[in-house]
Amino acid sequence: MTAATAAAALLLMLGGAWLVAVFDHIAAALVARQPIHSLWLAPLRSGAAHLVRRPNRTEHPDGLNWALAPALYLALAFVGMAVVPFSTSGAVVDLPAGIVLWGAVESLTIVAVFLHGWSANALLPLIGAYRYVAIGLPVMLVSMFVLIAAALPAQSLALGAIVQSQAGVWNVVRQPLGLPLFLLLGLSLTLRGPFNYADSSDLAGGTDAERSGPPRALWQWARLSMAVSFSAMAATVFLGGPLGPAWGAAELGPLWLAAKTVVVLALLVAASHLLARMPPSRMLTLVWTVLLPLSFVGLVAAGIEAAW
Amino acid sequence: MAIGWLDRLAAGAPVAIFAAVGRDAIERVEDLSLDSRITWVASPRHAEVLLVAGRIRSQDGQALRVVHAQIPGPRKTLWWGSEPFDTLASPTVVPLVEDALPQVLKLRASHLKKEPDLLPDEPPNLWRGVGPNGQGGKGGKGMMGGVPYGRPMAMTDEDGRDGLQLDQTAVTIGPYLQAWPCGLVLELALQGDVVQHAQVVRTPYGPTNGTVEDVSSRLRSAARMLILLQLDGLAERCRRAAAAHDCARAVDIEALRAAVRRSGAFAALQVGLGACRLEGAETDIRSRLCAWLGDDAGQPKGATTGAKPRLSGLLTGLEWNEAMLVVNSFTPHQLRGIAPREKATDEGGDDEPNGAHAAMEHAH
Repeated sequence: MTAATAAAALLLMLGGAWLVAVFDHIAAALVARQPIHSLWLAPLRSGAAHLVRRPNRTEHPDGLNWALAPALYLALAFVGMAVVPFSTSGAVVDLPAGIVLWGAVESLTIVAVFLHGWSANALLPLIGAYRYVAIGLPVMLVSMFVLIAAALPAQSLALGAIVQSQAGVWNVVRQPLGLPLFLLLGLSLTLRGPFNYADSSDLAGGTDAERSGPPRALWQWARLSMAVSFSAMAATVFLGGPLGPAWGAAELGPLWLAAKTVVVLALLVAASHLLARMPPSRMLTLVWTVLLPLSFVGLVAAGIEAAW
Repeated sequence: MAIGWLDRLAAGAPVAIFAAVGRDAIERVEDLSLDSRITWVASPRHAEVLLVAGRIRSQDGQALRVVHAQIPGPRKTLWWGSEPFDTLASPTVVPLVEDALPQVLKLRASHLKKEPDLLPDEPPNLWRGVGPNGQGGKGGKGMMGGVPYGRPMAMTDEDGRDGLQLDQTAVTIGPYLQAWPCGLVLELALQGDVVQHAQVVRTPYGPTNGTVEDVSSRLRSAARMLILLQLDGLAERCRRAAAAHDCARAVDIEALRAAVRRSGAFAALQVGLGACRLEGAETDIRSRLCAWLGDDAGQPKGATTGAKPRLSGLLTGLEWNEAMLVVNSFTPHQLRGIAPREKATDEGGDDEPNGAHAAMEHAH
């Protein structure tokens, strides 16, 4: 790890979180066909409004988890970003099985969101927590198949090798099912739009319903940060990460990664605002009977291609 | 210094209001929420101003106190066409016919004296049980069930779908939820998030000022449903179209319907969910949403029941999100017809005049 890589990762996480909020602001206005007010400052104002409100306490919460769940969620977002290669020279933490660590981030996110809902000791957050686990687990299985398929051409679990394997053709072209299915995981990991079963409006905010003040700001920041981390991972696994065109200098790798991350972020935000959310039981049926078999088909196809 | 800078930045954010909506006020609240200087939040914990809009039934007074206690300090309350609690020294009151927006903005900017708590800051019931180890509840069985010291305790019962014995909890829902018919209070027996049994404790309010359903009220109903489908932007478009229709401006419902269709909202709703015979026609939630958006062709293809519908019967066996969708798939007028009061309480009838409010205050 170089200091420059760490600084670039931190910059992408902070700037990216702000950018997601800006994208959300734009998307909400476009869908409602309304003019956009105070575009650049709106996310900061909204965050400040959370920070100046007083934190609250519910009756007999699970105090430790109530306090730690937002921090755990945020930490997982940063851990996920740490294994993303910013250039051909490496990531903040260069692991030989970086993609496995990302899988752990996905799993532990389910734990963090569940604890957030559980620890409030209130009905609506608890329903949000259980519902999230029910949907989040099978979506994570979809993601596992997709990621294994992406690792097959590289014959390695190292994200650097997966990037190098895309020097000729990106995985988004080689495995066309991969990115769309992985985007569904992104919606689920960040509690967004059609996969927002944890913090949804039918539960008055779900796991977040009983939060106010700085802890709520932390939770919202964690959600935005996870969106950035996920998008950087998607850009790495499917869009060639820091690889640019042949004429570009290798030093421009971090910029290419950032640009691709922004594209994935835009897709994620657009899907959040444009697609309806199904009732959970209907979604569960869709995931188990359609999406999971589809991801398996993608895996088999990738295996055949790799063995050819 | 830093705090002052943060306060100034926060002052530029839209005012987060939680609306406790009483009689004949929902349209006013929905129109108010269209202003970009306001954001209408789903939980009182997320609000800085409590907006009590319209006349509140005396029976809902305690629920309003709980909501008031849930607004994080320093809380501010605007009584918009409603009668403030006697215990508040100098409440801010605005008639419902006036615009509440200037008062909301003024409240945000003001440094009023701290609003007193209306409820003591302590658990509503003592944390102790019944029995040799303090574990059980009166009316329960062994270590489970009953309501020990005012707290409903889970008790196993058969799941209505497959007979599996699972913990069942009694909860009261309403009347102050964002995506919820105004005035409706239900008592639910939940196993997980599946409704095993429902009873109407307080009936919903009827249509505003008894008006017949028109394009505007249908669009507003569609907006409430779209919020439950996580389509907040399209819901706002519906509310704006309703407001425009109220002002006799042209509304392109076809474009709105096309946008809703593109979002997959119709496909997201299962055919046959909430199916019942309504006003002489077999409908389900999908066809009702279609009809609100000007498409009467969307008839359900699934199984329907010919019996006279009852809200509590329609909710049995549904999980939370489906139940919320079904509850919001009826217009206020339809809901009045299918949700009669099913559980008598000690608090008197549904339509007790607001004058009884003060008497109830003192009794508590």
